[in-house]
Amino acid sequence: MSDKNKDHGVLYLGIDLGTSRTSVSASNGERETVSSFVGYPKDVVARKLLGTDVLYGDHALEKRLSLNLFRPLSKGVIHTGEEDSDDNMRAAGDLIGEIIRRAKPRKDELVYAVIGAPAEASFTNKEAILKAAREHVDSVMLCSEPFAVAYGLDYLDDVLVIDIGAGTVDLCRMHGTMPEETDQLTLTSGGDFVDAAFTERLQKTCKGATFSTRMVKEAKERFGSVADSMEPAVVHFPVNGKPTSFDVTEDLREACRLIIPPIVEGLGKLIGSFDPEFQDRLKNRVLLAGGGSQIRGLDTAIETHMHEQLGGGKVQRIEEPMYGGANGALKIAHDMPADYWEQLK
Amino acid sequence: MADFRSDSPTSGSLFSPEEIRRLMAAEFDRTVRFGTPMALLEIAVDRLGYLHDLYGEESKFEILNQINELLRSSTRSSDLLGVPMGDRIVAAVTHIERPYAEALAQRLISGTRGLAFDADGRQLRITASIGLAHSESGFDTFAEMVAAADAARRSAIDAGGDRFELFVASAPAEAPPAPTPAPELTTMPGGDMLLNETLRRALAGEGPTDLAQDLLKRVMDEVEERYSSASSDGRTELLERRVAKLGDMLERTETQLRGVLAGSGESGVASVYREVQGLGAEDSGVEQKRDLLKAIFDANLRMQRMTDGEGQAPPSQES
Ligand SMILES: Nc1ncnc2c1ncn2[C@@H]1O[C@H](COP(=O)(O)OP(=O)(O)OP(=O)(O)O)[C@@H](O)[C@H]1O
Repeated sequence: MSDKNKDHGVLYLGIDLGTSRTSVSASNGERETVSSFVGYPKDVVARKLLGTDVLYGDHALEKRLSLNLFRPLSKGVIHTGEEDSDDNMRAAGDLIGEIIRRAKPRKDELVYAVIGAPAEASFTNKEAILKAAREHVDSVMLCSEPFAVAYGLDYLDDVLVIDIGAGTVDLCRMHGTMPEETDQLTLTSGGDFVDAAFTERLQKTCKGATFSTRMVKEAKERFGSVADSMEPAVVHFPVNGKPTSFDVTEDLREACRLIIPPIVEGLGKLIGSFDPEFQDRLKNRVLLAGGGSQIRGLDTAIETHMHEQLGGGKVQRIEEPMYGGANGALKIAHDMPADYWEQLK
Repeated sequence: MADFRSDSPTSGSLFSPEEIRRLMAAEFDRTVRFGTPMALLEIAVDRLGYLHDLYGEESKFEILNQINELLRSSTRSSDLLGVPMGDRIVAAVTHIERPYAEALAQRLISGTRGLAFDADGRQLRITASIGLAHSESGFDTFAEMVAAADAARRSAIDAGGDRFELFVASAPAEAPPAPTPAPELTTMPGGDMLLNETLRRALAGEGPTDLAQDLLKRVMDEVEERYSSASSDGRTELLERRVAKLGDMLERTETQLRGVLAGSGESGVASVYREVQGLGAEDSGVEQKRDLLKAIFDANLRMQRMTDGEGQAPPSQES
């Protein structure tokens, strides 16, 4: 992006690039989120009917039958080196462009963005994200998504962030300096994993019913809980075209609970390999973030498991799980000295 | 307000029950400081244990949730903080005078009677008992107010339930004998002098026998008071610095905005952060943040060099 005629100011963006959802918080007050889907019309006819070259988010999902649909960041990374990797890269680039447009930058302002990327994204991936972003902004930096969450909440020291996304659960230990590779752990047992486990169980419980991945996810988001006593999860799935209700409480609870053991095991690893003097402090400063953190009772359940397996722990759910990453990234962008931005242009 | 059906009743709420309790306590403190009225209601469903045993846990949740809803719809939600406490609901309503609080409690009692609850095809009659405590009674601490609401609820139940009771502070005559000297002592002008005088008298063995006890309390109160005003002085200074900084920012922002408005005529909000960005000296942990920001920058710079073909291998610690 050229910066000729741009002297009126800087628009700072904090972007959280996720498997299921990409969000932006901007210094002009805009806050937007779009589900991470990008679709291109399948053929000329579809293009004509849709009247556009590309569709995003739920809109793309709705029209998926006429589209080649991409979820460019499934499992938290842009897939490269695979059959459709070029298309995936293009979709990722377009998605980044779209979220930036939604922050409504003006022509006369410089756009500086901090993008929170999954903690363990590979170098190739980070490179790909940066490349895509550079087409739309004047200067861009990447940081790890859990770091952004913690920074946003002013937790700079001895804190463990659990970020439960769709594709991944990112665990990140922070102790003042930038988290290093050994401070981070990515598990693939995120929200999608719960959906898959739930679906498997539903296929047995709801004999003869037809249901889509989307319906399963909706039920999870509506009722998801790991608590012993939870609101009965009753869903209505069609059986031979007739809506039929099924009580899927037990299936859902079981599926949701599956994410606890790997998380606690991961926490154990990150705590166990930390300076022994500070292990207790770390244990008691665990932040729970990401869309999946909205599963009811999860904070308490993780705490209980930590008590059993690690001898203690305190887990705090963050207030805005959906915007925690983007808000933190915006704060980083805003706090970053101006000459750093200049140097990266 | 929290949901009753979950172990961790934070669902749908941004706050955990402990946080809500803390918020309530903070509301209470504000009320004391500014003298705004506040009411605390403790709501219990009559014979809930029995209903639970008879019709199962779900029926209990159902009833509590319905009352929860009723409470929410009967108040302006912004003035209400509610939290489940075991089988009861505790709700704090701010900016409410006692008569209105009583009317609210009565409305909840009548509303509960009107709740439709079906169990095994039978219509159950649900009633509630409410304990009401109002700041008018002059509680010193939030814990006292909670205890008062609880006591009032128990007396509502003892009176047969399906009613509310307002906690009334016992008349001075029934209260434990007021200690001499008068309670206003330390808050009166020249309080220090009086305190010193009392101290002198106590040490000299003059004055009533319970004076030593009373004195100790007074001294502690005084110390606490001074301690808290000292720390709030520090806060005031910090806040003043912030206000000054913000005022300065605002001025520059307005200048910028005027420039923008007069200029391009383009729509959209301009971000003027270039002028006002960056870490301020009064930000918390500023040194540490600077180090972190530098580390992020360095990692990104390395990465950029790498992609521009200057480097050989991917860095191992990029952010
Ligand atoms: N209320 C809810 N209860 C349970 N899960 C929820 C709820 N709302 C959203 N989710 C789940 O959270 C996940 C999305 O979280 P989030 O948006 O933080 O992920 P992401 O950042 O896109 O993914 P990733 O971090 O893997 O890249 C999805 O699996 C979604 O189903």
